[in-house]
Amino acid sequence: MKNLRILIFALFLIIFFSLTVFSQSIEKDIVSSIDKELNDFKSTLPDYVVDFFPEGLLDGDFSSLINNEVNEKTFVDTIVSYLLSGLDTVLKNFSSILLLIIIISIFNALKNSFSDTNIGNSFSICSTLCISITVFQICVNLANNANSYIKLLCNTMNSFAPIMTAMMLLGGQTSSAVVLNTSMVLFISLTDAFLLSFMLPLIKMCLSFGCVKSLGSSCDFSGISKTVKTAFVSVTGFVMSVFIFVLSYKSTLSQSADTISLKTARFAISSLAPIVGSSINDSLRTVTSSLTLIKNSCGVIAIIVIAVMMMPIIINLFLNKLSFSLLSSLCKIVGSEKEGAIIEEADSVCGFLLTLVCCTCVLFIFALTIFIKTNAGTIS
Amino acid sequence: MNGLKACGIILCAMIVCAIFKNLKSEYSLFVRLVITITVFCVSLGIFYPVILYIETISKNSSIYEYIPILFKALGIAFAVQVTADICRDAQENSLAERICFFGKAEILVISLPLIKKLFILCETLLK
Repeated sequence: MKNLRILIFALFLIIFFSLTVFSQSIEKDIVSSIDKELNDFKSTLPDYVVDFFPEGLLDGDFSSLINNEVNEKTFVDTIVSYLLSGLDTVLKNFSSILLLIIIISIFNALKNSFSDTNIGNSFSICSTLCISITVFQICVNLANNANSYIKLLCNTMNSFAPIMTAMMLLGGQTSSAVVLNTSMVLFISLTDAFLLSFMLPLIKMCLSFGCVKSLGSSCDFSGISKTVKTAFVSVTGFVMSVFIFVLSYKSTLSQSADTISLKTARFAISSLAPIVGSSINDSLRTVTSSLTLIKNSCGVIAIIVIAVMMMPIIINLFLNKLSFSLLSSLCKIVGSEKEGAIIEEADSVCGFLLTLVCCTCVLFIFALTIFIKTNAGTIS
Repeated sequence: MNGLKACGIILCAMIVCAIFKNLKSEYSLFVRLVITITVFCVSLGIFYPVILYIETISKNSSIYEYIPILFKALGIAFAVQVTADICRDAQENSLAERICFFGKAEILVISLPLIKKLFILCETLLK
């Protein structure tokens, strides 16, 4: 009878208290999502960036990075190759403008023999137009190139942010992953909007003022141009500082929250599993360190991607700026002051474009560095 | 014709003009006119190899399309200047002013494609 009761009780327990238990490997999902995101990230990269990296590095095989296959020499070689390829076009433009300056200065010397200054002035407008069209055409192309490169960079960052988030989630940095991903996405959108919808049109506006000024217009735009230039430098500096400040304090706070969570987990493991607790803790530390290494490698690759991606436009802008500055000095030597002023305007526009592109690069590199630095390494 | 020859011709013309001024002053103007036009045409001939050279060296560059415009403008400026000077010599200041105005207008017309190009460039920038 007693056995029957026990059997009935056991059956009752089995029937009414049996629960269906599901287990799902979240890690497996995250790893597969990282693979997908890596492929997406790779597909957004232009060919010259993919070619820069050793085979397999962009597919997640970081051995070449750890073995120092991507070193200073690789960078120097790439910079030299970009310099040489960019120099060809810049020299062509330089020689064309130089030829035009020489011809115009000869014609100006002939023009000075005219007793009627009005005829001379009409000829001056014609010659100034020739030089301004040649110079501003180059500037417009450079501005459009800068625009497309910044867009490409924002797209790349947009496709990279989920990878870093997934890496953080894998490493147990839930708060950091959520906070930094949100900030990063917002940050990229704001940068995209701020640079491409506000700063670049501002530079183009300055360029348009320069174009109109070259017509020999009596309107003096120099005041507006000066104000725009001053505003450009101040606003860019301020916005960049705010972005970095917000990202830094958010990462610091979320890192602290993650550290507390992991310390609590460690304490709980040590308390609940007194014998194997320390070995579980050690395993946790090893796993976290390994994931941090992978995350940092990913971050470093993204930084290299940014550097390599933006190198051609930075070199191109730098070479053009150098050529314009040299040409404006030559104009002063041959006495073509008006043409020199136009080329100086183009030189300053190139300088602004260079600042804009460099600021974007530095901004994203800082953001990625904050991503890399926010890790579970602070747990003791 | 070289520079020395031109100087000689101009000096001779000046002497002839001075003689005619006292004998028949109405011929003096025609002598001046003929000599001025001759020297101007000869000067243009001197410029021809320079023009050819500039055209040759600019052929492969992006500024090739601007060179004819510049030459035309300079040519018009020279022609207008010479004509205006002749008019002023003949005490016809009003005609000199008119031809100068015509010259300016023509240079502006020649520059129109350049101005159009500049405006298109501005339009591209502000798109």
